[in-house]
Amino acid sequence: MTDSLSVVTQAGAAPTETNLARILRVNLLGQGPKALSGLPDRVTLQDNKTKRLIRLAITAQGIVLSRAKASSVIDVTGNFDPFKGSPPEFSVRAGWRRPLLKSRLRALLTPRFKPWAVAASELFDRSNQTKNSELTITMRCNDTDEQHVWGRGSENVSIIASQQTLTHLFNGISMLIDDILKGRIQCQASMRNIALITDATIDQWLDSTP
Amino acid sequence: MNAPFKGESDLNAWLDRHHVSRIRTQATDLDGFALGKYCAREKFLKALPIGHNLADVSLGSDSKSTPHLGFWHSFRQGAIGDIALKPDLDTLVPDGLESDLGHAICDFAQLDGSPISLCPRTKLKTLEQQLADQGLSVKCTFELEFFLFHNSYADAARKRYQNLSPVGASPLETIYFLRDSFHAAPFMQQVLDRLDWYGIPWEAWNDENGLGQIELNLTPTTPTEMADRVVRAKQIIFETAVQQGLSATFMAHPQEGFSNGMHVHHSLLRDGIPQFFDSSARNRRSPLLMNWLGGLLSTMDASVSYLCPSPNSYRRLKEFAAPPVTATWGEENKSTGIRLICDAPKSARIEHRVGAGDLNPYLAMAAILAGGLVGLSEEKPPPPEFTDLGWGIPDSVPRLPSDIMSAAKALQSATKLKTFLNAEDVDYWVKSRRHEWMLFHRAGVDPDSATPTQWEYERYFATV
Repeated sequence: MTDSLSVVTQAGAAPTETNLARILRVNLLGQGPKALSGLPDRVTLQDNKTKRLIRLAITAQGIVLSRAKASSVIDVTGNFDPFKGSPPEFSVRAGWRRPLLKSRLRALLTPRFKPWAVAASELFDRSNQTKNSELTITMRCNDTDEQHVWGRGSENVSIIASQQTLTHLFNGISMLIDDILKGRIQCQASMRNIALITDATIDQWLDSTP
Repeated sequence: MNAPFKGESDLNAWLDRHHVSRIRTQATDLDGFALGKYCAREKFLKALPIGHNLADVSLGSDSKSTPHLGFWHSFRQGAIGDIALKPDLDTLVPDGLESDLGHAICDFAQLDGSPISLCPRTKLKTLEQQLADQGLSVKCTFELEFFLFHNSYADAARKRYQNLSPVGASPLETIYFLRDSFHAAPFMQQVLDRLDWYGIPWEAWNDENGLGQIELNLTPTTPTEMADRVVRAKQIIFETAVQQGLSATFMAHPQEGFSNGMHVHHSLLRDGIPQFFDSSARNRRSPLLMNWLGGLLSTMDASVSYLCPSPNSYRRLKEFAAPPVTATWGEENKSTGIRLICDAPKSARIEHRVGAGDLNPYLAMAAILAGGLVGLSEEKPPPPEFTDLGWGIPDSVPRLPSDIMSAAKALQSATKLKTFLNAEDVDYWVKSRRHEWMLFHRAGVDPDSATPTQWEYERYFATV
């Protein structure tokens, strides 16, 4: 049943929509059909930064994301900017008086994270950019001193960051190059290898990992 | 006497004769921007034949010179290094306006002079060679459309590109209107004088439909030479605008209602003889023409990425707005993706109407030739001719990609086209379009807005 649930974006989808689609897909996979039960047919989200409205059309088959009309009633407002490098922060419309549905909606829109080392391995294993690479990627969490090594190649890449940053990066919330440029990650590598890993993180962030 | 160096052998003698003491090198990056340096004559000569150096990221940067940090091509170096701008001395011409200045068009090359396949000009030459290997050559031309404003570039920026004053007499959206043309004539005269100096023959120019819009038609020639002429003509138009305190833009969609296109006319020749017209064939259309058309149509979705390179390009592709929206073709049909003209041997040609004003002429022409080559290799005829108006038709006729990412995805999956264009280069281009799309959205702009966003004006108005 869970496998048959789909999350679909439409042609011309913006990054906000593709990023949200991935979060929804992971949550549907984890929660199963009960995640959608009782939710209204349509839920409208507004991003505070762009003021853009996104419609979630909910059916027994899953969710279709599209841009909503300006006249739509807004159910959820928040910061859904996928470029900010952290998960969406949002609040459900106060007038919506059904606590169970509110909590279901929260659960649906809140990203579920795998431990960063697990997420990193999965990402590098499935990425076209890294799966046949010559890389050895050493990742270290500077909060916990936990270290994880992926790959056995001749070219070394070192990534050092906080647990939260690593968790966000490898779970598709941020992109490597953004984290480097914003000083959240120390990364020692060639330009090529930074580009290859960034490419993999962008594919995941965009929900287009093969 | 003004004359290009082409056909001569003594470079020093040519430079002396034309009093050239400085040479401006010019290469075209992926986004179609002209990059180069002003070189002292001694430096230019010393660097031959490979040419002077510049940072390798110049070919690996976006349209704001931000290096592509999120994807990779094998021509680049691990810690940022140099590549070369290799001059094509056949393109060396005197400026005509600045008495001691010469101009040379270059290819991006490795420091040992070997070619970089990602270089747009090199790419087009490769496609021309693939056709030459089959005994074929191409004659082509581009239609250049641009808007001309009384405002200088600085003034336009100060006004945030709103309420600019178009050059022209009439507030009506006329076309071929001679009173509007007369207002633009002093500007165009200087442009045409400089084109003449550069040895760029032109056929005509006219008032176009938008307020302040002008169309310039260049005389057909071979693809690489034509693309060289296009980038030079655009630079001349920009420089003339600066000198006259005006602004000109090739932005694909600078204002609601009207767009700049860049239609590409082309025909195939064998031993100098046109091959599209066949008086003995059905409708006088040669089998070669039909196969070529078949390839152009079957790859049109994918080639849109090269023909419409920016988010702004796609604002142009609207129903009933003049540009085509479907992968269709028809004889003397200007509403289809391809208009066929096949009424006489010498004038028989294809007008590819999808291209936006901001396209890179080298890459756009390369994509068209690659599509034609797909057709020749498959010998598959095109879909039936479309004789109706190509707008407002049922959804059963598939539309061309309507945004930069849809087009990039279509190109990414176009296996046959990629075999002619080099898969690594196509992948890099696709990633560069993804990058442009991400920057567009990172700015927080509204992709559904009816008018161009400020981000588009600031990025494209004075640059493409």
